[in-house]
Amino acid sequence: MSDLTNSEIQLLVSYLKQECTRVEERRVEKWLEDNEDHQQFLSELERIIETPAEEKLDWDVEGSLQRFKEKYGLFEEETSSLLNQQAIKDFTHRKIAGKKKFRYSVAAGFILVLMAVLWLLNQPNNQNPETKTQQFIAERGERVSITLKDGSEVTLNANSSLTLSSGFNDDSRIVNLKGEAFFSVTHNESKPFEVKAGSVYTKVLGTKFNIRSYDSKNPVEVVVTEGKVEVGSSDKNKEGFSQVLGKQQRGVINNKTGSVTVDQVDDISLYTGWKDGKLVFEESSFADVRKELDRWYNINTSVSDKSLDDRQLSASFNDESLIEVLEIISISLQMDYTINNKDVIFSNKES
Amino acid sequence: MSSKKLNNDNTESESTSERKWIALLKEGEERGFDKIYELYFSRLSQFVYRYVHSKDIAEDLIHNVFLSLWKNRKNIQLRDSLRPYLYQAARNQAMKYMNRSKKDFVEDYPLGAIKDREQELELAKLDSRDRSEFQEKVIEAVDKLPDKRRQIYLLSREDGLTYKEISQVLSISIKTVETQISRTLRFLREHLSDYMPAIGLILASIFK
Repeated sequence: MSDLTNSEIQLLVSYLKQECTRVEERRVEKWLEDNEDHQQFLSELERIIETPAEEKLDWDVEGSLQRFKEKYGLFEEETSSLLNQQAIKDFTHRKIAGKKKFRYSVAAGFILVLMAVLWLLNQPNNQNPETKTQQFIAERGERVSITLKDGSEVTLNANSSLTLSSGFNDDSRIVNLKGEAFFSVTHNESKPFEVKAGSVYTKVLGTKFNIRSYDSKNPVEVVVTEGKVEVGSSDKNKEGFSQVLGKQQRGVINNKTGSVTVDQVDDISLYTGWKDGKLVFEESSFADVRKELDRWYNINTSVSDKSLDDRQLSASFNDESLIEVLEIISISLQMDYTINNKDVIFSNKES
Repeated sequence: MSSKKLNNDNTESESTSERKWIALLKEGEERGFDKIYELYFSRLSQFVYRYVHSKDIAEDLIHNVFLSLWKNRKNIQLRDSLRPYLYQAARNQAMKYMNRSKKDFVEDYPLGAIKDREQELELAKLDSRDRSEFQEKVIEAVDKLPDKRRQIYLLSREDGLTYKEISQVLSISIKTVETQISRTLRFLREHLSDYMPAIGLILASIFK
């Protein structure tokens, strides 16, 4: 191992940090397969790289910031205070005092005007014709929180997107959802908030609710945590197919027929826990569990035997790492798993 | 699963990007300055501490960095992070201090440096209870490295600077950074093989 060159060690480091190209990855993997000692070497290297190498001191950030502001008197009268101090200093040193002072106060005034102009120029242009619709996207493996112009907050689950209609917050607030999101909508009677998901619309005044619409083949699910919403199908005549949902009620809307089934929810966290990093399963088939995991962690799971998909899982995970989740599944469902990059294969545990 | 926040113009906010705070700073907003200060003060202070070995001096030097940041705020280019710029400025301050002539600094820090160092070593000994033996050994070994190599390794491992950034901050070539880090890792591995799982012993005897 002492004959490894510096660049070879660098290659191992970038492999460990997952910053190397596929070609380099294969090269390292081949080297690892050649000799068990190589694997040992790599794991030792990994251990060292992961270990903090310095005693970190405690730094009093807040206190030092206070001391800084007191030392330099900043933010008391903006820049003009610094310049005035400078002006006074120069004043006592020069003979043509009057002229200098005037020049400095002009400079201060000019800078303030410049700052105002820069501030104005930096304001986002609402009238921009190019930005008609706005879209927010959460990729697989990530959760995104957004605050909209009207103050409403939306949390998007993995593999979801939210599109705002042009003129959002002008006289209405209409958005389009693909996937899953939790909404906390600010109250505004003159501007009704409406979410379109699949062929289902959800109209609200001011309320908190969760909408799930990942696949147009599956029904759309709306769960209300606070307030009231009206749901229905966008395609059909509203009177016949709309339904009002209240607190702790769940509506399942069939995309094709537009029919709405309502039931009472005891444990809301089952449906909204995801936004706080909670992944909850209650007697869910392993097939469904895998679908969630794929999205949540951006992986591709598969089973060696179809019957494994019928096993049921009841568990709740709180922002745990993928490995921890796999371990728990392995124990609860009696399965073994192998990981290769993003592919995870589950098989029956050999007893 | 990772989670991030978006502003309503779709730019990322908070720890993933300082752009928002840099923009505010450019406009002279105290909030922007404060946030950048909070983000960087500890890191930069720890960095110059490696040179000056005194908390008080480190704070003063970093205050100089932030003072010129404030003074030059309008000229800063809006970018994703001020990291390389701030680390470079911090290093310049450290170098200026290290190369000082007696009369420049002696009034400011008469006994400061010596007194602080002792205190700090005492405090560090108390903290070490929480660390594993392995971590202790790593810290010990890194502390013994020649200065230049130690600075490079810590900037990479502790401060998370890229090799390119390290080369800019320390005014050396990227190749040098790579070489020095590789050498450090090789050294640490050999030096610490006794403290790693059992197989380490076998390895040590294999390539004598």
